[in-house]
Amino acid sequence: MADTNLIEELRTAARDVLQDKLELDKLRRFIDSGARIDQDLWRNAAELGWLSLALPEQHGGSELGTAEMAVIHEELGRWLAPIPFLPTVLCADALVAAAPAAVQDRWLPEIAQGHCIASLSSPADAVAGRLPELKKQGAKLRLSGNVPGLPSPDGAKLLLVFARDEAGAVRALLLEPASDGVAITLQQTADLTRHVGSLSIDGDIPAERLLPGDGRALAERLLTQASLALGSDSIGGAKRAFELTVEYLKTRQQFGKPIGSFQALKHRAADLRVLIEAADTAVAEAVARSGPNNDGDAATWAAMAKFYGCDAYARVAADAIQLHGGVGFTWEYYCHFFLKRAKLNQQLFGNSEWHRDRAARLLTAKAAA
Amino acid sequence: MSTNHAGNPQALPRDNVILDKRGDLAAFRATLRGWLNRNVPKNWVERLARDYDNEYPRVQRDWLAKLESVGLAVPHWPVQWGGEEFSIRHQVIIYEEFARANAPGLLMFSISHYHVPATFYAWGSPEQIERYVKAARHGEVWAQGFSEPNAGSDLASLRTRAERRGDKYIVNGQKIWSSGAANASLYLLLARTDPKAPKHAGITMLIVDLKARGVTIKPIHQINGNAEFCEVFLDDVEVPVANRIGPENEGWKVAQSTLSTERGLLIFNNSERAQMVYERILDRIRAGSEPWFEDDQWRREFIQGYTELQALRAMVRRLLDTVERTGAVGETPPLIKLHYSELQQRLSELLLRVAGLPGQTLDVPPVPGNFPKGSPYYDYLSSWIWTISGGSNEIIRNIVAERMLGLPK
Repeated sequence: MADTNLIEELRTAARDVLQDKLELDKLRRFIDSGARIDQDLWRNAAELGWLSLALPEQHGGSELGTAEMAVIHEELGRWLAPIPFLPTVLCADALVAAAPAAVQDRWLPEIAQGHCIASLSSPADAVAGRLPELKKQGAKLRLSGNVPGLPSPDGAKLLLVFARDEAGAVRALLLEPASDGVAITLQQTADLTRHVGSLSIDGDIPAERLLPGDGRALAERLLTQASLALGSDSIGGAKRAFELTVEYLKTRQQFGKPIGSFQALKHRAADLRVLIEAADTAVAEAVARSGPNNDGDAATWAAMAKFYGCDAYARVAADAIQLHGGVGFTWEYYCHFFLKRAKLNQQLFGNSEWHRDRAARLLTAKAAA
Repeated sequence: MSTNHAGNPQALPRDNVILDKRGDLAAFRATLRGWLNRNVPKNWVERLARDYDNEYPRVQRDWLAKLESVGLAVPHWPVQWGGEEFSIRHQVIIYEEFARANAPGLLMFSISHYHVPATFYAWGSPEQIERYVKAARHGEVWAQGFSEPNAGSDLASLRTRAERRGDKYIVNGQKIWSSGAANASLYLLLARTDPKAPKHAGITMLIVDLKARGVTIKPIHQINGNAEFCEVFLDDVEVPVANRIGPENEGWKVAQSTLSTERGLLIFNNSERAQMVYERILDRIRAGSEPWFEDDQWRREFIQGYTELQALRAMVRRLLDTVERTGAVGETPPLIKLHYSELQQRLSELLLRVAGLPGQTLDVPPVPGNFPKGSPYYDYLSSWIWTISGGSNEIIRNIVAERMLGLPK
C-alpha cells in the first residue's frame, strides 16, 4: 500500500521544480531553441532522485513503487516536460528485472546520475509479435529488421530491443548504439516536447548484448509500466490544459461578458470535467492494482488506463483549442503543445485500438481451471 | 403493531447472527452471504412476472420482514430510531452481497427509509417523529410530491396551493413523477402557501394522507413499459396544520434536507448490479455465444463502455471512502451522476444495436429497480430515468460549470 503522505510530498516537490522550470514562457523559449531535450531539467531529474526512484538501494535508488512513479509521470505530463524520462526509467526497470549483476552495476548508477539516456523498442510490438529477427552468426548475433517508434532516442547510450530468435521466442537485447554501430534515424516529430526515432538494422552485434530469460515476460512487464506512465502523463496534461481553458473562459470577453457565461461553453467544460474525473480515477485505480498485491488483473487495468487516459487527454486538448477560439489556433499560444503531446501519447507503446483489443483479450481469456 | 399504517403484521423473531459479526468484516460478509443463500425467496422473480400488481407489494413486505428479523432493514439509521448506524463499509458489503444474491431489494420503501428520516431528522417535531418514523421503518410506504407539470428543473416555481383555514390547509394542485405513489399511503408534499413571496420563500412542506378525500393517483405509462411514476391530483384536500414539517414558508429549506439523503449507496447498488450484467455478457463471450464480439467496432465500443463502468465503480468507491473518512460527500456526486447516466445510455444503446432485429422487442423485466437488467431495449429506454431525473443532466452541467469550475452565471 502506497504511503499517501509521501506521494503528496513527492507531488508538491515535483510541481515546485517543474513549475519553476517549465512555466509557459520558459517552455516556449525551449521550444523556439529547437533543442530536443531540456538538459538542465534532465540534470534536475537526476539530482532530485526521480531517475532512481524505483531502483534498488544498492544502485543509489529509493526502491519506491508504481504509485510514486505515477506521480512523477503525472507531473512531467502536467508541465509538458521535454526529457526522455519514460524510456530511460523503462530501460532501468528492464535492467533490474532481467540483466546480470555485472550489467546492472555497469549501467544503473549511470542512469541514476543522469549520465545515460536510454530508449527502447515498443514492448507492445513485442507482445504483438512485430519483431526483428535474431540469428546466431558464429560467436556473434545477427539482428535484422526494422524497429520503429523509439521514444526520445536522441543521444541514447543504451537501447533495449526486442527480437525473435530462431526458435520463435521473444528475446531482449541491450544495445550500445555508439559501439555497436547502430544508427538511429530521428523522425521530425510534431510533438514539441518529445521525439521519436527508428532503427533499420541488418548487422552483427556482440553476443553479450543478449539478456537472459523470457523476452515476452519482460515486454509484458514493461508494457504495463509504460501504459500506466503514459496514462499518468496524459492525466497531468489533461488537467492543466483544462485549468488553462477554464481560466480563459472566465477572462475572455465577448458580447460584453465572459464567454464562460454562455451555456454552450459551460456544458462543454462540464463534460470535460466529468471525463477528466473518470479517466483520472481509472488511471489511479490501475496504478493501485499494479502493486505486488494485485489480483492478477494489473495488465487489464493498465491497458484500460492507457487508452482511456490518452484518449481523454487528446479530447481535452482538442477541445481546449476550440474553446480558445482563434488564439487556440496560433503557434504562439500553448494549446497545441498539449494536443501534440496527447496525440503522440495515443500512439506510443500501442495505440488506443490496440489497447482496447488487448483489454478485450485479457478480459475474455478463458479462466484457468 | 397497532394500526394499519405499518402494514407489516407478521413480525419475525429477532436474530442477531449477522449483526454479531459486525466487528469482523470478512465474517460479517460470509455470514450475510450464507444467510442470503438460505433466505432470498427462490421464486420471487417468477411471482412478479405472474402477477406484478399484487405480488410486488407482497414480495417487498415479506423481504422487509425478513431483513428486520436480522436487523438489516435500516442499518444506516441512527440507533435511537432503531437503526445500527452502520459504517459505509458495512453498507457496501450489504449492497454487494444483495446484488450477488439477486435479492429483491427494498425499492418500495426507498422514500420511507431514506428521504423520510432525512427530513424528520432535521425538521420533525417530537410528535411527528413518534407517529411516522418507526412506522416508516416497519414499512409504511411514502411517496414524494415535489415536481409538477410546469415545475420540473425549475422546481421552485411550483404552483400547488395550500391555503390555511383554521387548523387545516386546503390543498389544490397537481404533482407528477411521484415514484411508487400507487403503492404509498403517505406523501411528502411541497405546496405554495404564500403566492406573493419570491418563489423560493413561499413554499411549505406538508404530510398528506394519500387515502384522503380529493386525492387521485394515476400511474403514468412510461416509454419502457413500466408505470412506476404517478401523477397525483389534489382537489380540496384537507391537511391538518399538525402535518406541516418545519415552519410555514420554509419548505424549500426542508426539501434540501429531504434531498440531502445519501445517494452514493444508491448509485453504488446500481453500478454493482450493472457490473453483474456485464460480467454475464463476458461469460457468454468466453463461451463463444456472443458472435458480435468478433466485430472490431462493436468489441472496441463494448470495451470502452466496460472501462468507463470500471471508472464509475472506482469513483463511487472513492466517494463512499470520502464519506466514511470525512462525513461529507466531497465534490464528485454531480460528476458521478453525469458519468453514470450517460454511460448507461451509451452502453445500453450498444447492446441494443448488437441485439439486431431480435432485440427489437421490449421485454419488460418483472423486477423493478432503476439499474440495468440485461434486457437491451428495456435498459436502453430506462436509461432516460437517470439522465432526466435527479436534476436533468443539463441542469447538472450548469451546476458543475458554475459551482465547481466557477464559471460566471
